[in-house]
Amino acid sequence: MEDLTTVGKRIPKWYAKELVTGTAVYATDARMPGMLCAKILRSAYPHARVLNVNTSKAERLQGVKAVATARDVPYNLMGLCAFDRPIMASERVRYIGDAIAGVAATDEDIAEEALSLIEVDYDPLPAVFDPVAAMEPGAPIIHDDKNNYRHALFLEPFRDKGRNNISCLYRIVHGDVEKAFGEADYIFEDTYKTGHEEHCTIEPHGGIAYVDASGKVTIWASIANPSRFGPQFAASIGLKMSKLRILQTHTGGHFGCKAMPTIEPILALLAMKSRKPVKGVHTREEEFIASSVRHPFISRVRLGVKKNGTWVSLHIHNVVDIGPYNVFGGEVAAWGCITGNGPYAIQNALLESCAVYTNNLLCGAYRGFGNPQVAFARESLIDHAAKEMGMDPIEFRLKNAWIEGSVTPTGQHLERGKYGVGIRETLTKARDACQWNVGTDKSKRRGKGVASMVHGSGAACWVTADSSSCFIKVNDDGTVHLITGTVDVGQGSDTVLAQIVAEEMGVDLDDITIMSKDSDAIPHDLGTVASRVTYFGGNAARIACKKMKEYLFMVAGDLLEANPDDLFIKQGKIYVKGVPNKSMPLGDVVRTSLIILGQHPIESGTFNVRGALLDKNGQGKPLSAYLFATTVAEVEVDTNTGHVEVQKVYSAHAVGKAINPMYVEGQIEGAVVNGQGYALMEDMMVREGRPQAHNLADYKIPTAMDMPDIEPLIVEDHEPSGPFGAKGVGEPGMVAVAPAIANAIYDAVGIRLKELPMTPEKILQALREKESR
Amino acid sequence: MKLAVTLKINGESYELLVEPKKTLLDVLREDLGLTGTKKGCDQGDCGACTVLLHGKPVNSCLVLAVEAAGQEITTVEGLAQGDRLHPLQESFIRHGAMQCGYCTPGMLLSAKALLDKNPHPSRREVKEAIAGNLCRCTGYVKIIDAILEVPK
Repeated sequence: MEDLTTVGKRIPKWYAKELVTGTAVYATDARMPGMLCAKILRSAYPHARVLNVNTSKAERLQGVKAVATARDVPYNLMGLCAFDRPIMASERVRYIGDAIAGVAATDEDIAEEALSLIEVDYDPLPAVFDPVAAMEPGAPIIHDDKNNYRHALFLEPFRDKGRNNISCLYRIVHGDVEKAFGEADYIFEDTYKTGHEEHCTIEPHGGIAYVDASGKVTIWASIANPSRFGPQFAASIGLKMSKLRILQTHTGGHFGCKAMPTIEPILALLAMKSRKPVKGVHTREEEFIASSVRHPFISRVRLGVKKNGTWVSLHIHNVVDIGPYNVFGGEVAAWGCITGNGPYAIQNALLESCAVYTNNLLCGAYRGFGNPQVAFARESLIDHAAKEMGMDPIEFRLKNAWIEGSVTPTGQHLERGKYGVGIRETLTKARDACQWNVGTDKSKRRGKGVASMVHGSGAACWVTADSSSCFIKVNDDGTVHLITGTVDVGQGSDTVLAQIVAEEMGVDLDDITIMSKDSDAIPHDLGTVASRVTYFGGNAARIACKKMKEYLFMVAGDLLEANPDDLFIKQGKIYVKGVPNKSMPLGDVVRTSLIILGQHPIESGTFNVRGALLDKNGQGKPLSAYLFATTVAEVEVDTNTGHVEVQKVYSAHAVGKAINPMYVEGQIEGAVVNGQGYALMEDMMVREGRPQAHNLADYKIPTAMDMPDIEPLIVEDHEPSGPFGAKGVGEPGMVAVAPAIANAIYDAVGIRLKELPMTPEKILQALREKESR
Repeated sequence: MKLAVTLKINGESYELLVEPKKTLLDVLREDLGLTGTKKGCDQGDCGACTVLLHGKPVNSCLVLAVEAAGQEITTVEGLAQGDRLHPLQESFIRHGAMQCGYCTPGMLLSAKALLDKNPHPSRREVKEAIAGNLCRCTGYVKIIDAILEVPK
């Protein structure tokens, strides 16, 4: 066990003071002289042809400096899974948030008035809002060109090329499920539904775009991936990447919604047209109707079990409503398969996701990325099976959980010594912490429920190669710069990376500066997504540090007349092993390198995962690090009002190594409350493609009065390929919460809800139905 | 047509010309460059814009700037005294009570209003005091711990 000085310590954020004094500047705080205000005109219909857009009256309004429409976009398509999404709608609108025009004016009132002067001729088309109906022959076709769009490579084996709304049928085929169902002693089956969920970042999307005299565009925006943000739309708006600079500062919340373009390309176009800085910020309503939300799933789950409790067969079929544009839809559909099996050694599994276009809301990445949806279904059915068979839900899971040496449904062998497989430990730790075997007071309608999950760090299974790069440079006084593509959106990754660098380089935490938020300067990193930041960014930093030490020891070896292999750094000084009086400050070595040798100590590090694409049967190695969690929820149900009080949540997470336990807890705690909202409260009530709840009064997210007592439990199942054994925790915190609550409700009052959110109305309805049986 | 109004913010007086319909939030952020107070919804639902008027927490997006004339306004920028942080700010840092930090200014002011009136609140009283401040990152746990453990 290494003797660590910084890694593993609860260290406050290095920029904490900026946050508490209100001096941290967010993109939506940005102000520039001469700045214009941008407003966006959005579609009046969920599905319509756009026959004409007349902006002449708006352009003539005093104070309006630029109006942009699809006519101003050189190549009006962008996307990730499919290149199917226009920057601004030209001949078709496919959801009510589709942008049709952008206006930049001297103030907000004039911009709003200008919007009302834009005349749009629509020819409304039949729309489809039910993904199952959208799959039927004869359903209105949302993308006539579906089969001609460029698609992401990972989707090619799974694409549906028919004339319909089906983007793909992703599948993982492991063993022979039908044969196994034939041999099972019990078969359990049910269907579960989850709805749209809004991220509700407290800072909305927005920012400021400006153009310099050379035509270079800078966009300072509230985003989560400066390295990969611009490339998503640069060519679409006619810019080479050398002419587009993306800046991030502090981002007020992300959870997945700030990795894809929303208002930003339009701000750039308006800035290019007006030659003035243009600021635009989504209203809270626009966050609901125009920005991305979570993909709804309809999941049919079938589980085959032997009398002795062994699970022999699992079939999951997800219908994924990917909304009007396939930005992340294919990836989420795939992830619903890859994680759908859960952390369980089931010999036969068929995991399928059908990704379907609808005219509902734009969907995107949201913490968990398909896993919370499918886990709700699977963990609810497992609980049902346990109750039916009279088995304890935790023992039931322990009996079937992965161990080192297990094989995943994609055929990946979790070889001993190569992976941290902490699922069993999360089950036992949660069981012991919550005193699982102590019953709850049924007279008070109290219940306990458990759920487990598997997730992964990284996205190589769809981007083809997932990598993170950084540079380390050491200054003349021995202080260190880390220039990294890995970004902090508040989760604390800057400090975590600094802790890794401090530990590896033997310098004080205070002597490290991180530079990460300027696309002109930073190297590639996929972004703060996929629970990958500590694992990828941390590994890249470690690699760069090791190369740096090699170089510095070579120089210092000469100066100290010692073998470079005998050198080490401690508290900013290079020492010789076994010769305590021989040492040299790091700065002296750097100065020698610079002045005598003419070499600046600067090294790069890249951590790279390749070869993760799955074949047409979903076979391959999608991940190099697996994340595990078990969540136990204790609830009390008010049978008069249907209100569910979540009293306590225990959530055990296998994170490899907690580089900063305070932040790991922060992720678990925040995700539990987010999961509570998803489970019980958050209902956008989307009808005919429009959310009936489109503000924070009607769309209820948990307040301090709603939150449960939370006990985060950290399991350090050392991940050999991770930096100091660490992997990720950003998303897993959310995944098992809703099913744990659903299972606790069943334990409390004997009703099983199969649709999220489990609102008081639905609880009362289910109680009435149970009574009448 | 603009009205002349004097606003007393964090102990300093500012003479301004503002439109009657402009909110205190917009005047703070746009006219005075005090962007520490945040705009999350502009509808009084999220609490990110919380400031204190005579020590009482209000959503500044629901207060017209002209209404606030003659009142003592405290924003997050007024908590620290030079380099010396307010005990609440120090406690927040120590407990890791900020993640993205966007709700933090509002939280600090709601907490200050509570502690100025009730220096030894119960956990429930703390939750009630910040019930109008939405946070999506932290789950509130460390925020509540930080408020409860401010040294008296």
